[in-house]
Amino acid sequence: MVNQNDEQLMLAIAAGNRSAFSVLYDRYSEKLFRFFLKMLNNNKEKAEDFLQDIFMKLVEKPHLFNPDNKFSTWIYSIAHNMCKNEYRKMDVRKIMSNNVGDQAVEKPCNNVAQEKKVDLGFFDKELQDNLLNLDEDKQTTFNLRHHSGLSIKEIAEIMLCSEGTVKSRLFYTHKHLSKHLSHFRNISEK
Amino acid sequence: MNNTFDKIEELASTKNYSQLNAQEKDIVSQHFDSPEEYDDFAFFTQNGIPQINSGHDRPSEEIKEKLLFAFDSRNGSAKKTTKLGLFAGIFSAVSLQQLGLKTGIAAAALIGTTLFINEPNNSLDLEVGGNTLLVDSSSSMDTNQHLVDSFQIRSFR
Repeated sequence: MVNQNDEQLMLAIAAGNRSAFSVLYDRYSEKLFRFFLKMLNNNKEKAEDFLQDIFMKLVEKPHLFNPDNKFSTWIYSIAHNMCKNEYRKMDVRKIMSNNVGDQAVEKPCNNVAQEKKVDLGFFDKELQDNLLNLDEDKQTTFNLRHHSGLSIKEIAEIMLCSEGTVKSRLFYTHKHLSKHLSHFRNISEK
Repeated sequence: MNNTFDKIEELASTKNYSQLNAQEKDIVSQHFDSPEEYDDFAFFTQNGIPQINSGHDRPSEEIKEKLLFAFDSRNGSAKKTTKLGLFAGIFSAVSLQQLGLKTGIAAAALIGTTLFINEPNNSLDLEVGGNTLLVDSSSSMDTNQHLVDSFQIRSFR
């Protein structure tokens, strides 16, 4: 079962195969969990709820998956839509913006004695904070590319846009981040 | 425009501003306000995004257990029980005297039993006081007892 591809596993799940479900869960749960974490301002509880909900859809309606399509594209499309719905429902972005001020951390100094892992912790925090200043489409594109490791083509399919639009969003996001995170260069270069 | 993005990403992945030729500097200058800004971009491109905290970002193990439980319930792969057994199970699991909800629970059990007859799998929705509890007939009596107890506490506290 572990040697089967995602699409074959989905067919087995639709036929009621428990092991197939278990393998597919193991394959995607951490990736999807991290995606939800990034999209939901590192709210672990909510990310777990979303993870449970998305896999419940597989339990309840596996037949909705078209095996001619790629599973990863399909599941991330659902994940993306869940996040969009959440933003609409809870106006999360507004809350997130407010939280940025509350959770702000001091920028790291250029002290070479600072532990690398601490630097990375600061970097991650600032990366997330800076992503929140971008629109939802750019945030999602960035997270799908860098945290979920999807291709430009897959992201375009998930976000229902052209590959050129994905490239453009990534370019401007990278430009924005490189400008606002430039003070980490000294730490990284030491 | 997309070719320009590709070109700049390609340049940034290998060259700092000082290493660009005149034509390349011209392309870059259309998108960056200064050489320093381009160099920041190049540094970011060359070093990538650190993958951090990935070791700690794991969902709770309980989620998988719950999902597998739901999967078993939906697919009817669990052992069969008769409607009489289920009926008896519910009544033995829930002490009417303890709950003090004789009428409600009795009615709910009857509704539940009726639903079970038409249910293709081995679970039923037990509705009490406007709340719905999924009781899985494949579960042990202890599990259903626990579910009912939890439900009772959550619903009537």
